[in-house]
Amino acid sequence: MPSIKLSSSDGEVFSVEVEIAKQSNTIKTMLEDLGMDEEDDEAVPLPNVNAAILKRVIQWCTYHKDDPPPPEDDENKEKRTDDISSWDADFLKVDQGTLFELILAANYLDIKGLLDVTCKTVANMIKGKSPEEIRKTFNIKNDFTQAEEDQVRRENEWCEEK
Amino acid sequence: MEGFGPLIIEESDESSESFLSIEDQLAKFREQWQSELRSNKSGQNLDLNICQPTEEEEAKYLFLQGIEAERSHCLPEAIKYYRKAVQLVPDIEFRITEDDISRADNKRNRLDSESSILSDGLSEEIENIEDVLERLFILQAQEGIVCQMELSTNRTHFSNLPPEIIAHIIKWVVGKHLDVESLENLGMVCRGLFVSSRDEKIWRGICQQIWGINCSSVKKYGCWRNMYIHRPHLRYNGVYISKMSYLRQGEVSLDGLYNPFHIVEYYRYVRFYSDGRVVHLTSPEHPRSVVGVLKWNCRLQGLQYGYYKMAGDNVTVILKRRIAEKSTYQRYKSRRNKNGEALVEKQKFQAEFTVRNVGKRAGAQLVWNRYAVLALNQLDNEEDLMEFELKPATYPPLIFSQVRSYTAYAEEPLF
Repeated sequence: MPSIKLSSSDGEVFSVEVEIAKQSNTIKTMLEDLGMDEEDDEAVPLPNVNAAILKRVIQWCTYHKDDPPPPEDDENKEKRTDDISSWDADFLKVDQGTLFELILAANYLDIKGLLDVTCKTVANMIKGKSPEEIRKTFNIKNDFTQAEEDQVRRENEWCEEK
Repeated sequence: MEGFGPLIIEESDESSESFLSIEDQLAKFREQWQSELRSNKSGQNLDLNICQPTEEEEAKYLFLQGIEAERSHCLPEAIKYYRKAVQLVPDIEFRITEDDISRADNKRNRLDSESSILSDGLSEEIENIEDVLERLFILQAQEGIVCQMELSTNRTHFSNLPPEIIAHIIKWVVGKHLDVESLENLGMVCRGLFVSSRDEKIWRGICQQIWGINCSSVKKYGCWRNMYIHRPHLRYNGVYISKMSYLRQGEVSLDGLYNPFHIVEYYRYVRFYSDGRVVHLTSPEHPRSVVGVLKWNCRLQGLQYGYYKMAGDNVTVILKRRIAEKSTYQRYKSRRNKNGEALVEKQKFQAEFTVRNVGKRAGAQLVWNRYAVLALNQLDNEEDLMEFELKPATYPPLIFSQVRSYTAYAEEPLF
């Protein structure tokens, strides 16, 4: 199996099978555009991802290396599995900081499957919660003025069950 | 309207002058809003009075109507009101105070503004939204981040996510099941998330999920969000339920003294999906034990499934029975076959409803228009149509109940 080297922002170098690394469209394009040689010993620098996160990303890509590519046409939509698999659920039992870093890494490396499952996890943390509960969950400051908050509440009143 | 996006970009490209004018607009809006609050208060008092009108109050009301008619130069109308008022209370003219007149004026102003909201395309409501939106859009553009931390932390925070990722997360929050409630709650968290939650792309996606290509009336509603709120549509985050009951005669006791009856209660459940699917079930089971398991691919006995279409506020539903029941059905078929009688090949149910709003609750009620069964007769290969008689007792309107578990977890992104 040919492999390439990836270098994290903090200088750690990981050796990864090319097929696994190619789940990242960013790396895939890089390899194709630069015509990188398998013999090439030079590591691909990933300045936006630290070693801890890169390790997890590689772990995820290794587990999912045999997944079918995501369907692009509408016809295959029905076949999509909608539940987060138990492996992914365990994989994502991480603190919020790590979860957001995984999202940022998946976005930068352009790994659609990982971006979807992490964003879905955040969405599940938002769904069904009141504004105050969302603020508490994510440590978000309420920066509305009183008048703004009242106005927004009045505009959103229509959807409250009475 | 072209959406807020392009509008805002133009604004922010200009000099600080346009910013000032928005500040002015905001100040104006605040004044207007406060006066609205005040008039609301006085209006409420009046409403209370109208609830239990005494003779004197009724006369006062008529007299005030007369004043109003006189002011708008409708003298015959005014005389009619005055006369009626005097008939009730002869000295009503002297009992009316200045206070009464000004209160009536206040109330009329309020009614006027309300009716203008209703009549001319909800323009006032839209204006208000734009005031807040414009200001917040500018503030957000200056700050460049979606939200701030409440307590400082070294860990990567929600606010580190760029707007395009927030937009992606919102697509998952809303999902194909259109969890608009969670979207609106997210918009009430902070300024940045308010702006993100009003993204026209998201609301356009929601409307297109519901109405498909029949979305040209968005111009009439002003923006996609208003179209979602005000255009009649079905609701997907719950189930429509009606409860029926009938009396069944029980066994008469031997001494003939008792004539027992059973009250049989049963329920009708209809759940719609935003992609055009629908499931229907009649069952004696209580909603508590049904709504949680009522799904497209569930194994409930007697479940009918099919597709629906909306035209205006009318919804047409075509339903078939689950294939799981084939075994009993096939037995029935073979038995009939021996007798050489007509075969019932397959049955389809056709139902038509009107979607109604109840008070502020949009799409809260389904009223029956038609219910028929279509059976294909194999002998002459024609479809026999049988219409059910829609008696109010057996076909009461279905009432919407929200079921939180339907939207608790993200399944598919909106688009």
